Amino acid sequence: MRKLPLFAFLLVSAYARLGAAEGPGGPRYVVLIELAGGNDGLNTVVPFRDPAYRQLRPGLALPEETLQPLGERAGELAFHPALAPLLPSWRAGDMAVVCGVGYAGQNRSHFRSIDIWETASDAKQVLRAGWLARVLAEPLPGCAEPRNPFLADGVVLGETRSGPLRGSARVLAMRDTAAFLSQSAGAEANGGAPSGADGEAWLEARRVVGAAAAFLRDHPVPPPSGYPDTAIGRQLAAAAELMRRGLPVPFIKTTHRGFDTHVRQAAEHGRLLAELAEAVAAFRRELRDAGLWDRTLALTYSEFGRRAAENGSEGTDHGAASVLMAWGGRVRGGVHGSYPSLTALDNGDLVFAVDYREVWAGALRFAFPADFAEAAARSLGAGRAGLALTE
Amino acid sequence: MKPKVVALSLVFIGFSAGKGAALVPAEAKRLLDRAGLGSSAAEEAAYAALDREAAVDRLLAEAGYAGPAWSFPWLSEPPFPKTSGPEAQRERRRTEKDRFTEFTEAWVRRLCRSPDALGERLALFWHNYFTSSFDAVKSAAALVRQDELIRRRSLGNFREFLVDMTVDPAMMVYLDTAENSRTKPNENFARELLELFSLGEGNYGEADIREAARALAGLRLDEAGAWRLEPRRADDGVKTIFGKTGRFGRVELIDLVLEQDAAARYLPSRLFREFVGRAPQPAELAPLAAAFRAGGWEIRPLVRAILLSEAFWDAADPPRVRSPAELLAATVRLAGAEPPGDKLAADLRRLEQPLGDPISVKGWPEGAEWINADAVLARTRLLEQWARKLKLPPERRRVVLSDSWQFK
Repeated sequence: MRKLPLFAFLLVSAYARLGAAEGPGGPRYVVLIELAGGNDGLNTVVPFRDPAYRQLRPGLALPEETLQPLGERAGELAFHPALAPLLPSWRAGDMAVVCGVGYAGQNRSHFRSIDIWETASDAKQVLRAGWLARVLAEPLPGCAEPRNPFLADGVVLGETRSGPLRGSARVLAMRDTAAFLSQSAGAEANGGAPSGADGEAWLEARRVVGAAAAFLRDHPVPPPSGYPDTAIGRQLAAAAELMRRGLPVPFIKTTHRGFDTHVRQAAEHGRLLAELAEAVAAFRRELRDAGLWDRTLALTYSEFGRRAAENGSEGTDHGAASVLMAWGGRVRGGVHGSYPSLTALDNGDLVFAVDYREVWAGALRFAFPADFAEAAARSLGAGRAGLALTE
Repeated sequence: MKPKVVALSLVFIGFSAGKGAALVPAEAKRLLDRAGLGSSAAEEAAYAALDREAAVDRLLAEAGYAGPAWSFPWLSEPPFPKTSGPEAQRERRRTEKDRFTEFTEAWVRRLCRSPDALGERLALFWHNYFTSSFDAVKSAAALVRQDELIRRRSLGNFREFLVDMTVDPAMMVYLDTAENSRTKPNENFARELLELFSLGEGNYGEADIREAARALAGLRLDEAGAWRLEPRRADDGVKTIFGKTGRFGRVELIDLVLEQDAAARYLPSRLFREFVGRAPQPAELAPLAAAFRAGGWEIRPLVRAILLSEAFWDAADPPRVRSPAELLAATVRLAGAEPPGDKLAADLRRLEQPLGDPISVKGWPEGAEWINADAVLARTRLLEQWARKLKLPPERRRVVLSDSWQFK
């Protein structure tokens, strides 16, 4: 058995000292699930009793008898039928739905809007670095502990695009643990990295690879089981495996792609939501069995919702505010916020009530101790009240 | 030898080698890495005989059209043919994808083999500046045409470049120019024109974007990629842009943009970052900007000034990480061999630099953004494959697999 490199050991112990091991002893994980393309929130969590719903969407409105009502806590909302595998989580109270998430000056370009979400910028700002990369790079005021005690800032699964972690050299990307371990053999530094900022970033990236490989080899776990054989299923299986091994990283990013449903939305959207629901249900089952569910916050996000009315191609065009969903043992289950009005639209779009940065602030509060999280949330421009996503 | 012949020979050598001190080999290598795409030992030696000015002028002399015209047989077909029915559309997508692969693989070969390395660097710069993606445009022919426009204008006149780019077919599709009409405005291109292509963030207002979109309204594109201005969709009303009022159209819009102070600074700043590897200080930028405007927006003198600047030759400037394209090209040029295989554009995509297909309008990563744990693993793995296919001898293999090879 290989000895953990000193570097990794120091990191792990510093991590524990930071107190990130709150709650049942161990690090907490935020698992981001990007719904890439612009998820139609209006057909995901449906205000089905509002007559405007069927007026706006004569073709696309979901048949009432197929919907899954959310129950008394959730007023007059129901789930898309494809989300049925998530009903146990909803009923157990560890699933949250946040309504009306968006931002002022909605940009309807995929590229710009996902950049806005992932850099925590205002609509008119252009920031290059991801919000997580920024939060984890700067020593934050009022925080006495080493600024970055994690082995890496995050792991990106499924795609190599780092999103909120862009600009950090301390980001791992992998298909799964097995692929990473086979590729990381021979990643030891071979000398010759030059001086200067770029050279140091390169060496740091190498250290992260080495430390991660050593850690993973030293912490084997049984392979994932019970996951659907879909892209998102494989990514959540890989995420859970890293978490079961206890890899000391705070954030894991996954991507579920295909939500840009301009044409013939019904079947495609249903398929995507079914895949999401089955994958998250399997993820929840495995992590509950492993005793990790209380240390998990899984969270969807998407660059925008879709327009309230259907278009002429049995689909929907780029919109604005949408719902997002969160799961985890400490999640305050239920509906957060009120559903945007379907009659008081803004140029055909649902009006946002929750700035998306409050959601990021909620994730930070879950992952990090209070003073670190508050300082980080403020640096993103999130308000103090924030969204109480978790207990 | 007769003294007169010796004297004449010395004068001749002096004239061609330049008036200043000859480069040391490390400087020649650095020039060819930072202004080009790496070098063979022979090229380093050739440049080391020159002084700075002669070396830069030699690079610029090669930098003409950046390669012969592309000659794909499908280039003469309409870039946007109408297809109907799911089967025909699937077939169309497959065809376009194959053609796009053919184009990008040929482009990579040029990166590796073209004697005009500065021209190829500039083409990469411009593709990262005036971004468009195959994913959005879905037409290989349109992207090739955009590449031809880029290569034609790359060291030419920036005002003409901007005017041409407003009606480039790939750009029109990428940023919804053809969707923009008087009654249903689409501000996508107008915003990026001001923010990314000419002035930079903070140097225009929302109202300027709105009015700029009006000036650009009514452009349409046909199947053949030809543009026209449709009077019923155009907005010939009075607009106020940057405080000036008039019935501006797209060409007037470009001239209004170039009147802004920021216009003289934006491109020089980006080119400076490209070659020097950092943002310019105000004192470094001001003369470049002044000369750019005074000289009528010619790009070649601007590039020359940057390549002859103290900042560019500053030996104390730390090594900077190569982009994936630079890494591949430098490796092949060091080997002096044929490029290692025909899936190299796919390799660059794996390293986060998909030619002709950037993930967002902001383009590829820059500088240290290239560096993360995945880059370390993926670059190492691909370098091993390239080294094997290039049949590098052990000493060269050691060089390219060392960490220092990642830097220029």
